[in-house]
Amino acid sequence: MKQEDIEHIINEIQAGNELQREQLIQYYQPYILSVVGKVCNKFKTWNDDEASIALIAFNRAIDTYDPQKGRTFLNYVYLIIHRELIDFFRKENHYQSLMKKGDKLLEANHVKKSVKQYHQEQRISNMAAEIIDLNDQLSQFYIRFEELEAHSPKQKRTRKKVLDIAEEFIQRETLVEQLFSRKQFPVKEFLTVANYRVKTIEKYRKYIIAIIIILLHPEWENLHAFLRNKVRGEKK
Amino acid sequence: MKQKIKGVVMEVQEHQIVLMCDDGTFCNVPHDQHDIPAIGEYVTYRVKKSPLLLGNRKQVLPLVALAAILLFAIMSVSLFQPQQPAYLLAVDINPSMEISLDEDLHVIDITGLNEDANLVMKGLDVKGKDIEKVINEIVVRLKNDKYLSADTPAIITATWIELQDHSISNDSRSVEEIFNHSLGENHVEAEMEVYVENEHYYKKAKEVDLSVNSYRMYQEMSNGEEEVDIKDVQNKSLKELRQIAEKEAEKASESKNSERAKSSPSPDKEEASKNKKEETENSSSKHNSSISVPKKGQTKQPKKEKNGEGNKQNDEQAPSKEEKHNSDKERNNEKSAPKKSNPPSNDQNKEKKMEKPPSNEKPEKKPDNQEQSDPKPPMNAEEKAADKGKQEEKSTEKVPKDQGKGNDSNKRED
Repeated sequence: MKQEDIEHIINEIQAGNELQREQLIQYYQPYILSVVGKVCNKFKTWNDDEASIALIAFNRAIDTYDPQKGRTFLNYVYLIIHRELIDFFRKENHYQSLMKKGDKLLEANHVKKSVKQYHQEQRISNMAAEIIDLNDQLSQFYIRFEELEAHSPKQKRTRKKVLDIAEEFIQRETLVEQLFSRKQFPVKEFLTVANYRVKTIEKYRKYIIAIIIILLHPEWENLHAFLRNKVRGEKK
Repeated sequence: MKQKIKGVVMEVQEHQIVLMCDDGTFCNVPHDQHDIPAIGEYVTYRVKKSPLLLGNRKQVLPLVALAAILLFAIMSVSLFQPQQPAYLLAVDINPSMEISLDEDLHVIDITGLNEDANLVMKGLDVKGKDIEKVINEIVVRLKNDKYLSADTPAIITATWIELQDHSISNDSRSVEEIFNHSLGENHVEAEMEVYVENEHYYKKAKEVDLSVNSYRMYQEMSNGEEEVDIKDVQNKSLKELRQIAEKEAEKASESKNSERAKSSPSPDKEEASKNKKEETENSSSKHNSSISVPKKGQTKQPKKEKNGEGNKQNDEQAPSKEEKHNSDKERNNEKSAPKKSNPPSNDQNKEKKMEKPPSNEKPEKKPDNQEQSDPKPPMNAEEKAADKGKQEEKSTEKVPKDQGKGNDSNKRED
């Protein structure tokens, strides 16, 4: 989801599109939870109070987000959730124990704010946006991130081969169309045009799909950097 | 082995986070319970990885293969190594052989110690067989080669040697039973002597290059009066040794007897040698048994005579050590001693009784007794003849077992 898309959606929501709000919340759920974990320094599930508070904070962030203030949406969301949670801890007297780290965080955010840090934050939130997008795309194929480790090629040579497969695949638009319409990798069709072993494709199928999706979204600069990294590593 | 994983956090879960590593692959990493990153952060994790599964497989696989091969090699070497013998059974008939056995009494190997044994065992396949079968087979072969037969009982000497610290209970006994069984089956006769010794004894025998049983004979012989040269023993079979031992005993008794008057020497000699053997055997062995053979062979006969007489003499005759004292006493007060032992008989009989022992025991006594007892033996023979009937009665009274034997001995002496 591009920045403009988000702004557009948020404008719609602020105008009263409740369905869009619902979808946006659904879309950012993993991110909310990860921020809760980050602030609490402990993993939280949706059953925890902190998660509910974060969700309410996120809802408010949608309402109050103003792109003119120069923050990305995710950065803003993070700030709001963090503030709300600190308030909650103060109320619950958890604050003392958690404040030590929180202090630093506040300091970092407000006092020592530098251009460099600002850029880093921006990059992180951009990255998060890309990852959330990717996650959303992969969920259409019923692929979860945790599965991808098992399907990742471990050897440099296979990694290169898999990348080659993905690059060759996106050349053929019909195949890409088939992939997205069927939500299945068109192994047979692909093999008729390309000379690869079925076994290789079957083994790394999920990973190949993930790579294809990344390659098909050139706007995900950060994620692309990783793939390019990989190719560079090959050349060394 | 710790491995650094750098990557972007893709997803945060309860126990792990999913990273997208620098090379574009995905990693699931267990996260620190108190430091949870947010999605999109770039983090570095140090992860303990088991080198076997997740390390570089290119390097690990050959290592694993090598280890497996080595393991296999070691196993196979230990498998094909010869078994450690647990027991050793040294058997001397005339062929003398050593049978090594494992703990379950299966034969590992047989070594023949002389040419006779090698001949007998030619083509004998024994490996892994039960001791019972092997002994039976050996007995059959011995019978075929005429070492054992029905009418001339041989003497089988077997020594059971424990090579390891096994508590042996009735193994040696069972060896005897096995031999007896197979002897009976093949209708041959033999006298059986079974000894139990430990490894130390076996090594000592090996040091002087003798079979265990020969070594025992050698020890017995050298226990006697005369020194035996070990070299004489080394090349002789047990049978020959036995003969030598008997000869020596004979010689000894002869030399003593020759000093004396010529009183019925021949049975005495036989008895003496037999006596000696018996005694030495008794002293050295834990169990010593003789098979009761249905037909009375020659070897049996003298024994019985001796037994008969020995029993008669029993009253005065204590174990050989005390004999000297006894005979001295008798000499000193001839009349008092007999009265103690057998009141009902008359004086003459008593005298004869008392005086008879010295002649039999001569070979083992020291020379100083000889002069004292010398004059008496001739008298004995006459008196015996005269009082045969009475003696018979007496012997039955005293020792009911020896009824018949008493007769035998008397007749012979006549």
